[in-house]
Amino acid sequence: MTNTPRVVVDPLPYAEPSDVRPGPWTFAEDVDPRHTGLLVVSLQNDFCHPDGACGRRRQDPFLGEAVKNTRALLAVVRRAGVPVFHVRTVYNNWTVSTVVARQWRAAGTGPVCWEGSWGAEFYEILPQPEDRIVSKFRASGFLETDLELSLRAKEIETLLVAGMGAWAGAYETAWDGVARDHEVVLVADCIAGGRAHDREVVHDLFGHYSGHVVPSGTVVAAWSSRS
Amino acid sequence: MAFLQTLKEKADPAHAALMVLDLQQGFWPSRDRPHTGHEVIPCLLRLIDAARAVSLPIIYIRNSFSHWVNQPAWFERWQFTRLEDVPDYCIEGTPGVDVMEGLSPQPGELVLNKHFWSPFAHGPLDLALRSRGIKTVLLTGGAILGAIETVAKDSVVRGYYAVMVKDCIYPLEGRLPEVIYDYSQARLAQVVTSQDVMAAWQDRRG
Repeated sequence: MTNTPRVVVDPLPYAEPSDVRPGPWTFAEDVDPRHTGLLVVSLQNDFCHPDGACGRRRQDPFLGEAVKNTRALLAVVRRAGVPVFHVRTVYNNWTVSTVVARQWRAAGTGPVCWEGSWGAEFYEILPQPEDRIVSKFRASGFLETDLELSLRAKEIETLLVAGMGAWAGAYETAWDGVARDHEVVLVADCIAGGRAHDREVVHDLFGHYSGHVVPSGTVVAAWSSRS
Repeated sequence: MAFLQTLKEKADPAHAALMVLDLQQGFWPSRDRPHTGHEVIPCLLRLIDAARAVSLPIIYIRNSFSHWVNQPAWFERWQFTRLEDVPDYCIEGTPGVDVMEGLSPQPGELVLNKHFWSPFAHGPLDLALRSRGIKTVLLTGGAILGAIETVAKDSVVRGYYAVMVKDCIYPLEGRLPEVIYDYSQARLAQVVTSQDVMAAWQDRRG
């Protein structure tokens, strides 16, 4: 056994970052439209439509409600000048891996959101010219995409997350947003996918450890109180 | 540790990809530089044809700039040197982003946008290379400083072999490529010609 020299570094005392706002912080401050963006994740035919690769295997009865709520939230979001990001899944012969192909085979879905297919197209809610479309290649919208770059370009600190994907698209993106130092708000009544019980569990975990979980009405009310 | 050592091993179509960097309508020929890059096109077209003949994957990398991605620290330097006299310079949604005519990507070939020097930043290049089992990137296009040298380094630090195909990289001559090729050959990437690469594929043609 060799003796490895021990490197001792004197720990520095904790110094709080100078720009930490004095608490307590209000929800309205967190979702200030000047530094907030809305992410609509994976609302695509293959995930949502009854004829889609995943949708034909299982339909979430809450999906229609979530889409309706998201549409209503979008109207308010646009009036508030909050940037909208449509984060869509895209696979092609470059981004599909052995592991992904194996998952599709195991699930019996066949290819999901294959580039150029009907299944990859947006479901119900279509991007407007002023919106940003971000293509993602795995569950998280942050993994090897330019989402974070666009958020920095727009000086966005807080993310409102809506869309599809219990344990996957919406939630993986939300948790990755937290890891990148964003305030993240799961807009609970605008998220569908998976079983209702799974969503409850995830919302509990996320609200307890990671960020906000609120209905869209809470966001709208916070913005109403500003005007 | 096993290495891929020879060009034949590295450029094997089973695990190599040809990367064509920054040859775009709005970016090239460079208006503010003494070289234009035109001289690499004939060689590059022959190499692309040869790559297709051995079913070697091809990746086209394009610059794409917009208010959605521009950062102050980047824009501060470039706004004066580029955008003033080239209004549609690689701006998202304009023809300037398109790959040059004559280099038409074929179905199944990858076209990726980048927003800075390296396509590994803020995009799925690494994911695509890993998913396809790529081990080597054959670098073409330009310029040698900025794009090629940056991508070579970003490739190697991610575990890919880098090969610079120098007669397909602009500028073809001058002190700058000499210095970069000398350094690269010693530390970073094998420096070869397109003839060398095509010779390595010779027995792979169907």
